[in-house]
Amino acid sequence: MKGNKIKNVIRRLRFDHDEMTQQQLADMAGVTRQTIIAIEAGNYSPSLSLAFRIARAFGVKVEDIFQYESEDS
Amino acid sequence: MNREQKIAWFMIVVIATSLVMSVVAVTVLYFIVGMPRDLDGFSCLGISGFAGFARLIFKKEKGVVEFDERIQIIRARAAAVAFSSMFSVTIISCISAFFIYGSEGMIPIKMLTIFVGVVAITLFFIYSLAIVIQYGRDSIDGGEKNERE
Repeated sequence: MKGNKIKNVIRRLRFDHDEMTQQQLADMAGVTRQTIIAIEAGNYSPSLSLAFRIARAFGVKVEDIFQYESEDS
Repeated sequence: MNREQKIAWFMIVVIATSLVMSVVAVTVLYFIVGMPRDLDGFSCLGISGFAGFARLIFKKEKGVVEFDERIQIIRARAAAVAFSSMFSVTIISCISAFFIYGSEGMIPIKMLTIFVGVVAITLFFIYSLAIVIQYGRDSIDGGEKNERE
């Protein structure tokens, strides 16, 4: 079975939102800054609930932030 | 470094200190009083009990998010690793006692205390170590410099 990864554009979206800091996003999503760091780096895939909270913080859809990339494709 | 990491590091330092002091004490006592009284040096393991004060020393900060889904996963993984290690150490302790004292032998209270102490220390030490290692992996990508990158 080949691996897959969930990519995201959180870093770019933070820039687009007046250079929002990781801490500000973390506070809006209700998680620690380290969790935002891990998600941005692709080291942690958030739960559906957290993904929606992050999307809501930016005012966009979940699929605008997270993209599923499979090595098969 | 968040509260969880501080607590884990505190536990590691305290337990490691108690282990080192125990080994030193046993070694020194071996040359002074010889076996088996040198095993009294393991009483230094009692210092590791101070690790229990970690959550009192590092108190929760008001208004700061200190617990989320990722920390929950980290804790669960750490607990799984710690319990596996503890189980192994428990079995090794039981087998050791069997071979040292025989099936009909009697275990001195001193040895029983050491066995139980080592099992308990293993649980907390491995748990803390697993937490620090899991946080360490991610911190490679996320230091303060990434704040506005």
